[in-house]
Amino acid sequence: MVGWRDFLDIEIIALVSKHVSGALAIIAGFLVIGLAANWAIKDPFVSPVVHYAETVIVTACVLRAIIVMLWKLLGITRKTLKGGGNGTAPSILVA
Amino acid sequence: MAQHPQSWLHSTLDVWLGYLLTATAAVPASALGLFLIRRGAGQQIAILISVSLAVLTGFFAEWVVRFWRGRWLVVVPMTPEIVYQFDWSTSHFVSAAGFVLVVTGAPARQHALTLPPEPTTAASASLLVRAA
Repeated sequence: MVGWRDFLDIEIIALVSKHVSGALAIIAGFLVIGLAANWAIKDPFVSPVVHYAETVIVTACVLRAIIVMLWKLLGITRKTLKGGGNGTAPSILVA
Repeated sequence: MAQHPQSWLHSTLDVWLGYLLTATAAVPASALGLFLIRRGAGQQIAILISVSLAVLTGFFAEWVVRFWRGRWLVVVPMTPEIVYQFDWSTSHFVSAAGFVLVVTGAPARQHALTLPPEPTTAASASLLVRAA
């Protein structure tokens, strides 16, 4: 029986860690820039603009992470189920 | 043509570049969203448009970057001999040996200022060192 543990290999861990770390790093960087801009300018007009831009940046990065990870996970799953090619059996069935 | 395999660092930096491009594209997209809000559009619609535009622009920018990098980057095939020489020349042993040779091979200053000998007292540094 194929369980979720069969898909949890080093490729998936590397994929998720790279995307999560990338998204978090870029989001943190832009949030720090936004906070610094808010703190430096202290303008009631600029503050909601920066807040809106930060919201869009965070949402876009999270959405991108979800899309890319799902796409790559789909590819890995298809490759795992398809097998090694040349008529060989699927790797998870061999295991 | 055998290509040099992409290292973990390179692939991670590629992934981070995509997020950087997306976040950069989100700035003009949020400006557009604010413009739409100012023109009377709903806030949710404006955010939806901004986020979608940012993500799509990020993907497009990543594709453009990869396309141009692929045009300009020349991948040099590495033969086993080159790999062996490269590994040998960058090994830790050779690096350490080079460091030692550079440090010990540095010529001493011939015309350095010579200080007068230290007067030997009970509290002199050399005696203290010797006592320790």
